[in-house]
Parts: sequence; C-alpha cells; structure tokens
Amino acid sequence: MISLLYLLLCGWTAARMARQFGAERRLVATAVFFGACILPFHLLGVFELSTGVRAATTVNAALLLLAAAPLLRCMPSAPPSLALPPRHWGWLPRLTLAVFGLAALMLAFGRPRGYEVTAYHLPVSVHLLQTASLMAWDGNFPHTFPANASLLWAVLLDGLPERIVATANLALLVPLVLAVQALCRLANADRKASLTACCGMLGVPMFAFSAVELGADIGGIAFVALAMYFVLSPLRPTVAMTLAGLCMGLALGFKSLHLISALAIGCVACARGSESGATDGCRGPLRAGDLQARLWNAAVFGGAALLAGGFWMLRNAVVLGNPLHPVGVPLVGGLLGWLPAADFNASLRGTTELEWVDHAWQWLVYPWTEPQRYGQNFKHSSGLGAFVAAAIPGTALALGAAVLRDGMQAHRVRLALLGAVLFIVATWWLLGDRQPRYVLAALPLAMPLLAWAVTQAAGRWRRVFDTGLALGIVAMLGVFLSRQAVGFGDRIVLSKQVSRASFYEYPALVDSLPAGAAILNLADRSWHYPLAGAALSNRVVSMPEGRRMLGLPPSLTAPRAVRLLAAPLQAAGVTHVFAAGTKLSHDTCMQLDEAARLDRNPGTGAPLGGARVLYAVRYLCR
Amino acid sequence: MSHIPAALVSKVPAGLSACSMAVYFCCSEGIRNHLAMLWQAVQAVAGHLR
Repeated sequence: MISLLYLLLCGWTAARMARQFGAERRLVATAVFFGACILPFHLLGVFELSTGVRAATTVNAALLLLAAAPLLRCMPSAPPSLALPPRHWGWLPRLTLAVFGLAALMLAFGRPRGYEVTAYHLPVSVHLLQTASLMAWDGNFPHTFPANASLLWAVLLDGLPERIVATANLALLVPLVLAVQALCRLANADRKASLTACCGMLGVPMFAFSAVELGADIGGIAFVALAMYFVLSPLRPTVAMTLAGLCMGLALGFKSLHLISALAIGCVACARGSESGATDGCRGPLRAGDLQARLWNAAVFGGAALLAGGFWMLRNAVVLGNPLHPVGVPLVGGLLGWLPAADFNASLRGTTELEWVDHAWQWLVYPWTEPQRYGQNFKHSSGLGAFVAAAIPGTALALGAAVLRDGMQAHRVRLALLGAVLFIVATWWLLGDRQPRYVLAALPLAMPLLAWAVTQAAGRWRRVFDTGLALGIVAMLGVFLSRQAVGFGDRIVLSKQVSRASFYEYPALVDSLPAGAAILNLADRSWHYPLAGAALSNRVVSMPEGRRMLGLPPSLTAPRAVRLLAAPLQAAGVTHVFAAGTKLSHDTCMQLDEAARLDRNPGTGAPLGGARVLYAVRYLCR
Repeated sequence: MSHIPAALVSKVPAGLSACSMAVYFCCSEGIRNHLAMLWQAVQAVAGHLR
C-alpha cells in the first residue's frame, strides 16, 4: 500500500513541478516523476554512507518527498499550451499498442524473467527490501553496478503482486516514446513519420524483448533520449540543462555505460551556446560571451547529472575505492588506485563479439544478417530487425544529400543528433566490448533523422517509404508477439507453470522455509532471485560469494564440485544449500540432509539436466 | 551546393529503403531461425492435439 501512496506522491510532485512549463509539461512531468521516485533513495543512501544507519525504505523516501512538498506548493504556474484537438493515431500505433498490451497480459501470467534480471537486478531489489540498505552486500561485482532499475522494482515489489511487477519495464517505454516523438518534432519531422519512427523503434527486437524483462537497458536509454531532448529544447538554457542533467543522471544510475552518451550529449550542450532553443536555420558568427554560455551549459548539465546520478559512484568510491567499480579507469586509474575488480576479467571483452560475429568487419552488415552463435537471433541483446535495416541507407542518403545541398547550418539539430549517434557507435567500437545492446542508446537519437527523411518524401515516394517501413514494423511486431505467444503457450497453457515454484522450476519447499532461512546458492547465478521464495523472505548467499567463502577461485560460473566447510558457512548463518548438478562433499563438522528435490519436469515428467536439490544444513561442531 | 538533385533527398531514399528491406528479408538469419522456431511450435501443438 505504501508503494502505491509513494507513486501517487511522486505523481503529485511531478505535476506540481511541471505546471511551470507550457509545451514541455508532459516531458518535464515524466522526468520529475522518475526523479522523485529514485532520488530520495539516493539521499537515504548518502545518509547510510555517512552514518552507517540503514534507512532506505519506501516510507522514509516518502517522508523526504513530503518534506519538500511546501516548496512545491509555492511554485508558479504557467498557462498550459493550447490543447490540440484529438487526432487520429492511424492503424500502426494502434497495432503496436495492441501487441504490447497482449504481451503484458501474457507476461502477467508468469513471473519476472531474464538471466541478468534473476542473477542480480532483482536480487539487489530483494536485498534492499530485506535490509533497507543500498550498500553492495557482497563482493560479487554485478551487485556493485548502479541500480536505479533495482530501486524501482523494489518499490513496486513492496506493494504489488510479483506478476504485475513482471510487466513494469513496459511502462518505461512511455518516457522513451515521448522523448523520441519530441525529438522528431525538433528535427522537423511530421506527425505521421514521427509515429512511424516510434512504432518502428518499439518493434526493434532488442527493445521489445528488453521491455518484457526487468533489466536496466530500457530505463537508461529512455533517459538518454529525454536528456538529448532537453538539451535541444526551446527552454531557457539553464532550465534546459538542469532538466537534461537530471535525465542524464537518472540514465547513469540505470547503467554506467551511459557515461558515453553523457559525453556525446554534453558536447551538444556545449555547442548550444546561449540561444534559447536549437532550431534549424541561419546563425550568426560566434558572439562575445558565447564561450562563457557554453561553459555554463556544460557546468549546469554536468553538475545536475552528477547530483542525480552520482550516488552510485560515490558509494563505490567510498566503499570499494573506485567510483567506476568494477571497471578500471583508463590512464589515471593506476595513479588514483581506480583499478578493475579482482574478479572482473576485462580480457574477455575482446571476445564477447564472437557471440554475434566471427570477424569485426561483419558488424558492418549485422543489421541485415543478424547472426547469433546459438541461434538466439532475437532477444534482449540480439537483433535490430527489418525496420532498422530499411532505415539506415535511406536516412543516410537523404541527410547526406540535404547537408551537401543546404549547408550544415540549415541542419544543426539533425547534425547534433547525428553527431551523438556517431559518437556512441564509434566509442562502442573502440572500447571493444561489442555487444549489440551496448550501442542501443544511439537508436532513439537516430529515429528523428529517419522521421525527417520520411517527411522529405512526397506523393508516390512517400507512400513507398511509409508502406515499406510499415511492412518492416508489422513483421518485427509479429516476431515479438509470436515469440511471446509460443513461450506463453508452452509454459503457461500446456505446462501449467503458474505457481512461482513451477515457473522457476525449483522445489516448492523453498517457498515455505522458516523465517531467517539463509540459502547458499551453489547453482548458476540466475537461481538467486527464485531462491528468495514467494514471500521474498529467504536470504540468499550468492554463488560467487559462496565460491569466495569456500576458497574457490573467483568466477561467475557455478562450480562442478564443492567441498563444503562448516566454519565459513556457520559464520555466514547458512541454514540451507541449493545445488543443481554440483557434486557436494563436506567436512566432519556439518551434515547435509536432503530437504527437497526436483529432478523431473513436473509438467512432462522429463528428467531435468541436473537435479535441483535443497539441503538443510546441520552443524555438528561448536 | 545547389547541384545536388532534389530526388536524392525526396525520392531515392524511399526506394533505397525498400531495397534494403528486401535484402534484409533475404539475408537475415534471425527471420530464418524465427520461422523455423514457429514451424517447430506448430508441429509440437499438432502433436499435442493428436
């Protein structure tokens, strides 16, 4: 209940703040709403860092917001922009909405899913709910990533059924679409082309499949797009940069990878100078004081971004000695002691691209070929789809020809977007960890360019453009919906995996362990969240932490064989051990009693790859 | 630079886009594997109903 009240309070805060604005009211409200959801927790985190008192609860966050309420009541109100008469959306947006509505419905029959989601995003949420602490609770490096997504899911899990929370990432598509539509407007695209671009973006497999998992990608990218909008918006520079910085900070809190986007958008902020709004057209020579205005823009943007996203870096700097933990900082890292985490194997980065391509040059044709080593061509981290393949050459040609024809000044907004897109893609290439989803933030910034290119076509050629793109969108929405339908039919309709235990395929006893139960997970990391149980009350010791406790070399892979030692397990308060195929032995100071076992698929009776066994631990020595 | 033909901005991109999509549907492993997965699913459902 407190979660719903908290969300209402955030909504009220957003409405109050946004009423000072005219045309940008909706976007400001969106940015402030998520800021109000997340930033009070950051303040509570800073309080914990400085005092050691764990206080990161929804109630305390709500109290902080309430404390700010008197300030909000004094805020002036601007007249709302003229309301436009309701206009016909067209069939494509309706179809897109129907597809995502159906996907949400199917999702609500299951539980949250996704490898990284169950391995660390949701475990961080559960840890926050259990301990009211925002500190990284063990040395497992994925637990030290910025965790705005986990914060949001924790607030929701606190008050909503897990099934509903499973659909929550779809809601983050709303700020993403609003931002892209607004960017399309700034790029002088017409309404129909803007809607086509938004629908096409949602149909991109990496977006669609990310949205049905509770990861951090969609949120981060949505706030990158919003930040870019505010930088280019017609608002006064200081207001625009503050809002852009807020969004950039929120994006960094979802994924520190967006430091790259922050640099790109920061450059655009500097380029904007002192004029109100970035509109296309002629511009005079550099004015006196312009440099000062540009530096001011950069300072406000960077300062707001640090305030809104700096908590996670501050925490990692104070607790782990490196603000960018687990990644080492190039050049100055050695001097400042900001080195990679011991269990973070950066040498693997160079080979991650082999999941998609055999040679680096094949990325040039990836949008048309979409190879994936294991046949998982369309998932949260694979696949750009027909729409992107169709969009790239047409947009590049139209923009290139128009810039050559009209000169750069006439295309300033579009070139700013193109510059940011190229910067993100080039940095992705240079950093070497070439996973397609790491470049995804460039896509919403490229969509306005496509929408503008479509707007330039007229008559028969416009129909060709519209029809071709619509075909691509329908095909990719079909891919997404059919994949969801197959999964739903398989797991929910045929296998009837409706209970939590059957959905995640663990022994049902996990859901009824006594209060204070602590399970040592010796199976794959993705078992971490399921093992928290239906009430999210079990404490789970992560597999990498288990490896450390038992003196095994650090790795994110589950051990094949383990000798359990009573002393470290007893010290950690472990009451149960969970294993799935790991051979276990133990010292004489403990005894393992098999409490529950699942070795066959409950629906089909087929044997599982490795028996999932829950052992109760008895300690025999003092 | 007014010698750039207007068609390069207003006409050719639409055609290029259509061609690019055709190339995609011919070359995409993703589409091929997805159709294969759907066919397997249809066969599995048919087997289940029999």
